[in-house]
Amino acid sequence: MFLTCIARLRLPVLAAEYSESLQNTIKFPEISPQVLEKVVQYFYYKMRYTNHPGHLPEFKIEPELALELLMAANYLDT
Amino acid sequence: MRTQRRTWRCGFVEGHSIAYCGGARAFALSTMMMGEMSQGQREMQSLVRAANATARAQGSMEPVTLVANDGTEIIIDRRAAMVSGTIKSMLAGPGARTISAPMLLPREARRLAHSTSDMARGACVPHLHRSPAPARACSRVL
Repeated sequence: MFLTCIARLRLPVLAAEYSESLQNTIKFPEISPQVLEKVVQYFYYKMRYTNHPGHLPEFKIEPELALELLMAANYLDT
Repeated sequence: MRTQRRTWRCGFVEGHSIAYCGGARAFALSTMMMGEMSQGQREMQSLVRAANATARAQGSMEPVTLVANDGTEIIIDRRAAMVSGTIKSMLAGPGARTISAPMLLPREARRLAHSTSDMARGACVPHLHRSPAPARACSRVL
């Protein structure tokens, strides 16, 4: 009986955690499309140029996006 | 082939899409949204598009959809998304921290339930007998 109680308590938590990994879709209600696109570009920039010998090209950031981008990067742990 | 079709459907299910998943339509949408683009912006977009095209050509693309606050969807490869620590743990799910000692749970559940019901009654009831070995293992797990 105790185990059933615990299972009932845990199930919604597990389902919430699973939804992203099951659907492969992640919603970011705080991030605007411009910032999200920049973030995605950085993902690929990072993948492409990690352990890259020699000169790194500049990753251009528009000043008007900088603050929002900073907050998004902090949230995303990037 | 199946992956490609699914990617496409995901990309245009609702709202518009910046989708780097290829095709002239996706590119047009992206250009429209961003207005005039700088040289650097164009270079970065082509970097992303080329990387995604390569992944799809090799059949190694596992699409992950990121949705912005206006419903815009960006479909990228899972490996690229994993650059972000937050996204990585979201995609990993609870399986990443499975407890490796399921034998301990019934005993611990009974002990927790026992002490909780004690507290609820406000009574001071002696604790259940605990042998030291599982207790040690439990403290390691918890």
